[in-house]
Amino acid sequence: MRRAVLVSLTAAAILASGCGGHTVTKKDVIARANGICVNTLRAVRGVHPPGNTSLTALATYLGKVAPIIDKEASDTRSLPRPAQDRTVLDRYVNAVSTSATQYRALATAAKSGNAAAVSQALAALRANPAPGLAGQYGLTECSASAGTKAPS
Amino acid sequence: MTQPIFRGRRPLPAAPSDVRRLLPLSILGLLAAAAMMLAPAMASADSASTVTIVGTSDVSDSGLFTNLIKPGFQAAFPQYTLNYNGAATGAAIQAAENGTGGPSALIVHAASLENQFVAGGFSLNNQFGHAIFRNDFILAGTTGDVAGVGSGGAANNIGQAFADLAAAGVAGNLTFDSRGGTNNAPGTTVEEHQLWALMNSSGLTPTGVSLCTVAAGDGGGMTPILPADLPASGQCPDSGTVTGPADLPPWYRIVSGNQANNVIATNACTPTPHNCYALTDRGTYDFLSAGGQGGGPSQVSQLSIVARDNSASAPGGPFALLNYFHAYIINPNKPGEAVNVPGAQALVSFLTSPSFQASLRNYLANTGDPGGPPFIGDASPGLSSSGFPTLVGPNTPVTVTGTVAQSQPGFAPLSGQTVSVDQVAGGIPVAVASSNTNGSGGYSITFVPKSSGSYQVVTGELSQVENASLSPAYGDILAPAATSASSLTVRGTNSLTTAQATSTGVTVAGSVGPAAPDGNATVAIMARPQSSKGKFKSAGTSKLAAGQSVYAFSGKLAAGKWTVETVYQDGSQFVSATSVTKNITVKQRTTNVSFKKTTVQKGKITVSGALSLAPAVSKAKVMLLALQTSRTRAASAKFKQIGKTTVGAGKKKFTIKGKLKRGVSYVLELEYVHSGQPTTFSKLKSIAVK
Repeated sequence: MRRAVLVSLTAAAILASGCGGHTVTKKDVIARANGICVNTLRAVRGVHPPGNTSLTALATYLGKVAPIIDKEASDTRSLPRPAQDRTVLDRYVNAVSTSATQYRALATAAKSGNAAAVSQALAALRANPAPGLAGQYGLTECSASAGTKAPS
Repeated sequence: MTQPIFRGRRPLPAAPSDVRRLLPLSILGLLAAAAMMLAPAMASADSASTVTIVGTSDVSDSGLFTNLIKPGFQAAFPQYTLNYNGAATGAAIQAAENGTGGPSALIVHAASLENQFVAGGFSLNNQFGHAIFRNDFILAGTTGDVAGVGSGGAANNIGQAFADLAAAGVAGNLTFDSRGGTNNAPGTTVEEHQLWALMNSSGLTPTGVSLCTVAAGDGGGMTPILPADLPASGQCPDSGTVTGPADLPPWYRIVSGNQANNVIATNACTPTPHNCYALTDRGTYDFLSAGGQGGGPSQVSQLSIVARDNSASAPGGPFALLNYFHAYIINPNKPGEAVNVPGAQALVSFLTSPSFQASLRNYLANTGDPGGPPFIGDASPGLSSSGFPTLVGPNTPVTVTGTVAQSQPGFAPLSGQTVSVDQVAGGIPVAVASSNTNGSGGYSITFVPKSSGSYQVVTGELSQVENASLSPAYGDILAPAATSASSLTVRGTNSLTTAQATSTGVTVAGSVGPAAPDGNATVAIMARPQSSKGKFKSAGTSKLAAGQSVYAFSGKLAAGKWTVETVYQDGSQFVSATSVTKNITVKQRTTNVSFKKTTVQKGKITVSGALSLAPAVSKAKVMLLALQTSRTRAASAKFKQIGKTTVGAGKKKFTIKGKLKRGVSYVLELEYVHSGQPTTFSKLKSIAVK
């Protein structure tokens, strides 16, 4: 009986530690989140920009980008949440989800030809705290602002 | 054991019997190569959780995969297990084409073989390879350098160095170790064949050295052959190249195996101790020099680099020894393929990411090699920009100029490529305007920033033919590049044309820029007493509709002398704009009081009256005054108060009652008294009390 209990406890301990015995750390999450962002930015920048400044062209462009941002939000939500700086990570994940919603609103506004709504959606997106929270958590690849450094 | 099935290319010819005289290590190398060719066939195909790369052994033998790529990728994408099957570039391409081992990605370094892979439709979406990094080829020789490459002035002249070592070989003083191969050749062999051809075309071929032309399908170039075996056509006899010892000059041996095997064999050099040479890539050489995986003593202690960095004045020029690596996602629609496309895309994203590209600068950086770290990231073009102002007026065009620089030296400028200006919002780029590069990679983009924000110049994936002389043409893809974002502020403007006092305050009119971008823009009237130097306080606000650029509205001010201005704002869309100030005088407001109805009965008078303005507070008073006009002496002719009332705030009507003497005539008058306002009187009213 004692042996059975011991086996059960051991199994429970293994399960609690993530089946592989490795507890996910903040460093792990940073690497994974950076991976998500690398994939997202590469895909977004791979979308051909609008050929002119019309809302129709913008709508076509945004329509292609929006699903990429949706996937980023979905992938980000599935990140593990270790205890260290959990609050910042939670806020970052929420901000990324919000940015996907805001991007959808932007795409919808452009599709309906509403310039005022486009400006309003862009303003909302600009105010999104995701880039700041990414920096605060230590993510290095999660804001387009950094650009890509030219190889030296 | 299942033999791999090869389509479209010839299988590796069986090793001739003469191969038995090769070094045991060489045999081991051959076996290793064969194992690598066959092992993938037995391995399981990629699933959704695995990404297998089949590729050049330069990447595995330099430790780059084990030490940098695998740990970095799996940390970023733990949902995938990454594997690498290192082989010769040609063999790797064959495995990719046949789906041998179920690979998802290919990493190789031979333009004249890669072009065939793409033309055959084996690359996803028929895309060229993704540039990921480069290193350089070097010529390593055993300690004595009997060919005198280094001392003879050919240290930076690879055509001359090949001539020197061929001459020494013919003289019986050295052995050149080649990795060999046909259409499954290593990229290093393909490069070697180009260098023999370079030596030949430069008129440097020594007496006694014969070269035959390698078939284009095998990568092209030339290779040494026994003079007696050189066909009249000049074409190499062994399926397009020279593979068998029977046709090889005595000083030229094919070691086979991977990159490291070849270098280690050259280091051991048993046929002619310490007089062997090999062409290899610097990543593998530096890794072995640093002791290989786990460190330790150098594994190439008998070797030194005798030729490298071909000079600009040497035949072939400064790019002759550059070694470009490209990554491909294998086309999953080809028969036999089992490609994890998302996983392979993640791999390409990772390899071309700024952080991985930067990490290459630190890999093998401390080996003592004066050339520095062997691998250089070249995934993205160099991108420069100038012309972003920090502050710009509304509706003002901004022109940004710069250059998209080719990251791969020796290839053509990036012309006709799309460059865009993006606004970064919430960390996400949103394209604003775009243009194309000119013939030298320069660009100019003009756009009107509609709002303040972060702006950057960006390129998408740039696909370009790099070598049109190959058939089919060879090209590659550079990853998107982006400049660091510049903070740009759009300045609002606000022209106050009219500020006119009214009885209740002020009416303003003016125009603003930029036109209200959305429905949230406002104009506020701000005012302060002319005698004050304190803060302005709001006297009224008007919301502008999207697109509105002219405003006119009123604000409330008390009587007095005021300085007014207006402020135009809309969150972060632009910097709020304050107008010039204007002085106005709001006159005292007077309230008229009047009789409406007067009734007198038995000396009791009731007066109903009205005020022209309702008092703001409830301390306003109205007094009923009366002056007797009969039976009164002149000296006492003055009004006396006979009644009064208080008028509530916001009320205009009132009633006052009083008493009068019967049989007397009066003149009546109403007096209105309100703090802060002048006292006013009604018109007179005559009445006779019966």
